[in-house]
Amino acid sequence: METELTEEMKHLLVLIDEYTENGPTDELVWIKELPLMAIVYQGIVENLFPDYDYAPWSVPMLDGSRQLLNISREGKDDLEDLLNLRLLSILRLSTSKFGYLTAFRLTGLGKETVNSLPQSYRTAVSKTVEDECGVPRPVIIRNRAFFFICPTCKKEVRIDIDDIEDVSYEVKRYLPDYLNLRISEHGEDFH
Amino acid sequence: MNENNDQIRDELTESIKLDKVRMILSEFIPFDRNILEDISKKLMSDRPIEGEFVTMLMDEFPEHPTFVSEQRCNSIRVLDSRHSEFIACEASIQDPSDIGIEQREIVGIYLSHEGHIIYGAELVFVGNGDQATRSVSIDKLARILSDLSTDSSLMMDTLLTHHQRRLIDCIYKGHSVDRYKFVAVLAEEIHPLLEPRQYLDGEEYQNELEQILDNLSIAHHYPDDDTLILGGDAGIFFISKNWRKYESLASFYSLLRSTEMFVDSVFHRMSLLWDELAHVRRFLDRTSEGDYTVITKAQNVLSEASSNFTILKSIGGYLNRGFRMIHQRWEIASEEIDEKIQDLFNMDLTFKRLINRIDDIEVDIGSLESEVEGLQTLLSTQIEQQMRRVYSALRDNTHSTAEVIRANERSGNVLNVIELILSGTIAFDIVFALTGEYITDYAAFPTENPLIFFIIAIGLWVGISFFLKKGMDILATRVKTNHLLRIAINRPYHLGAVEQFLDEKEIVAVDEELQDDREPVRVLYEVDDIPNVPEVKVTLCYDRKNHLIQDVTIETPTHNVDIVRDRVMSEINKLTIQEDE
Repeated sequence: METELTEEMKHLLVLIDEYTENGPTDELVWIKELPLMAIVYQGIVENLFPDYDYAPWSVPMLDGSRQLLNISREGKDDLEDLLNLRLLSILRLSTSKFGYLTAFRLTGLGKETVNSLPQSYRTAVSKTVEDECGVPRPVIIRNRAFFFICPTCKKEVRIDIDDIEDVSYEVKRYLPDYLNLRISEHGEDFH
Repeated sequence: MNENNDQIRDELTESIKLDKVRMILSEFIPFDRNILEDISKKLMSDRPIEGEFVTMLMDEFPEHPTFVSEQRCNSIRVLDSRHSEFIACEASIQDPSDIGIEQREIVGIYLSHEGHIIYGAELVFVGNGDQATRSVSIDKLARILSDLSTDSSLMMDTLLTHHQRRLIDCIYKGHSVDRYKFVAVLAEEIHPLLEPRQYLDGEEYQNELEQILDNLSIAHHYPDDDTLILGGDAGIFFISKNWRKYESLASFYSLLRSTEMFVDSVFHRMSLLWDELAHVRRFLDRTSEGDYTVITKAQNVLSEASSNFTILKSIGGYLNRGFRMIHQRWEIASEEIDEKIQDLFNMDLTFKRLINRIDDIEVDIGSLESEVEGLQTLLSTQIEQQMRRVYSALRDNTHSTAEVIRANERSGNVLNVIELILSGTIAFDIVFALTGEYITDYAAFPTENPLIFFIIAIGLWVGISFFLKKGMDILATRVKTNHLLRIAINRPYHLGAVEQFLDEKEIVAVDEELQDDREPVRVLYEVDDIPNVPEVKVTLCYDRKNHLIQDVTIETPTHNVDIVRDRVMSEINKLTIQEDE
C-alpha cells in the first residue's frame, strides 16, 4: 500500500473533488465507481495518469448482465489506498435492480489535501473532464455506451472504454489430457 | 498504436511475463443427453470425414442451388465423440480484425452432457513479424483471454439449440456474449520468478496479476514439483514444468467458479422476477380499488413473468441434474490430485457449497411457483369479476335498449295512425276540392249521393295511402349502402411520415390510447379527390410509440371499391418501410 501520495493519487483526488462539490442545499454528492472508472480510462488515454494501465474486465452492470470494459487495476488500487489514508469516503448502495454499486467522495482530510495542492493539478484534470464550457462533464451510460455530456451545451463525447483493443496472436487447439480423448489427427489444413 | 502494431492506446508496464502458456476457460451451460445428441447430429460427429468442416453459417435461401460464403469463416471439426456423453471438437474462429492485427484462433471445445464446457487454447505466439514471441505479458494475456472469452461465447452460440439460447438469454438479459468465464492458465515459466509473497506487494506485481485474477488471494509455492500457484476471484495460474498434473484441477476449479457466477446470475434473475410479480400484485390491488384499466397490463406482465419462470425452473432442473453428475466425475478425477493442493482450493467444500446453493435455488423456485400460481388465480378471479360486471352492464343496457325499441314502436304506430288520418283528411279535401263543396254545381252531389261520395272518398283515401306507402318504400331503398374494407398492414413507418401525411388530410376524428409499451392511434379522415367517388372515409390505425402502421379501414358508398382501395393503399405504402429498405 502506498503511504505517500503519488502524482496519480493527487490527480485522482482532484478528479473526485471536481465531481463531488456539495449540492445547492448542502446535500452530499458522491461519484459512482463505474463513471469514475470511465473518466480514469479517459485520463489514461489523455496521459493524465501516465503510470496506470488498463485491461479488459467483465464488469457487472446494473441490469444483471456483464460488459467487457477497459478497467484500470492501478486506478482501483489507488482508490483503496486513498480510502486507507482516510482521504476518501466510500458508500455502498443497493439499487432498485437488485444490484450493488459503490460511490466515493472526499473526506474533510481529503478536501484539505486537495486545497493544498497547486493549481496545476486542477488544470490538468480540467483538460480531461471539462470542455470549452468550463464545467465538469458528467458521464452517462446509455445503451451500454459511455458518454461525457456537457451540462451547459449538452454536447456529447463518446468514451471508448468498451472498445477492447486487439493484439496479434496465434493460438492452437488444446484439450486437457485427463479427458482421455482419442483424437484422430486427420487433416492438418484446418484453415 | 505501439511498436508491436497492436491497437493499445496506452504504454503498457508489462512487468510480468509468462512462457509456454495454455489457457482453459470452463463454464456451465444447461445440457442433457438429448441436446448433446442433437448437436452431435448437427456436427455429423458420427462420421468425421477428412477435410470436412462443418460451418455454422445460416443459409437464408435454401432453395438456391449455390451458397456464397466469406473466404474464411468460422468452422468446427469434430475430434472425438461418444454418443450422448461428450463431443470434443476444434473450432477455427475468424474474427475480422483491424489493419495490422493478425489473429489465428483455433480453440479446442469439449461439451459434456452434464453441462461442463471446456474451451482450451495453447498460445503459439503473440505479436507481429519479428516481434512475435511465445512469452506473453500479463497485459497482453488479459486481452487475449477477453478475446477468447467473447469468441468462444459467439462460437458456442451457433452450436447451442434454440432452447438453450433462450435459457442463457433470459439469465444474461440478452448479453450472453459477455458472460463470465473463470480463467485457468497453465504456464511453464514466469518472469520474474519470485517468492509467492513478493507477488502480493499491493502495488506493481499485484496490480499486474489482478488484471486477470482480480483480488489475489492465493500465492503458494508447491515444492514437490516446483509449482507456483497464483489465484484470485477471476482466475488461477499454475506455473510448472509439470503443468499437465494440474489440468483436471484447473478445469474443475474453473468450472466451479464460473458456475458460482452462473448461480449468482440465476438468483439475480429470480430477484428481478419477484419484482415483476410485485408489479402484477400492485396492478391487482388497483383493480380492487375500482381501476379495471390495469387488468390488461397485469395480464401482459404476468404472461412475461410466467414465461421467465418456466425458463428459470428449467435451468434449476438442469443445474441440479448436471452438477451432481459433475461432482461424481470430480470425485474420480480428484483421486489423482495431491490432497494438499485440493485443500488449498477447498475443492470439496466449494463443491458442497455450490450444491447446497443449487438446492436452495430449487426452494426459491418453489416459492416463485406458488407466487406465480397465486397471482394467476387472483388475476383469473379479477377477470371473471370484470366479465360479470360487463355482463351485468350489458344486460342492463340490453334491457334499456329493448325499452327504447318498444317506445319507438309505439311512437311509430301512433305516427302511422296520424299518417292515415292525415291521408284521409287529404282525400276528403281533394273530393271537396273537386266537388267545390258548397259553391259549385256539384255541391249537391254529396248530399244527393252520400253513399257514392263516401265510397269515392274512401277509395281516394286507400289510393293515397297506397301511393304514400310505395313512395316511402322507394325512398327507403334509395338509402346509401357503404362498403367497408379492412386491410391489415403491420409494417413500420418512416419516422414522422404518418404525422406529416395526416397534416394534409381532413381529419374527422382521432382516438388515442396511451399504454406502457405502445400508443395506438385511430385517425378517421375523408378523401374527396377521387374522380366520381364521393365521401370516402378512411380510418388509419397506427402505433405511435413503435412506429408501426397496423391496419387501415376504408368506408366508401361506391361499388368501385378497387379504385378506392388502390388509391388509398398507394398513399399508405409510401409511408411504410418496405422490406427491401
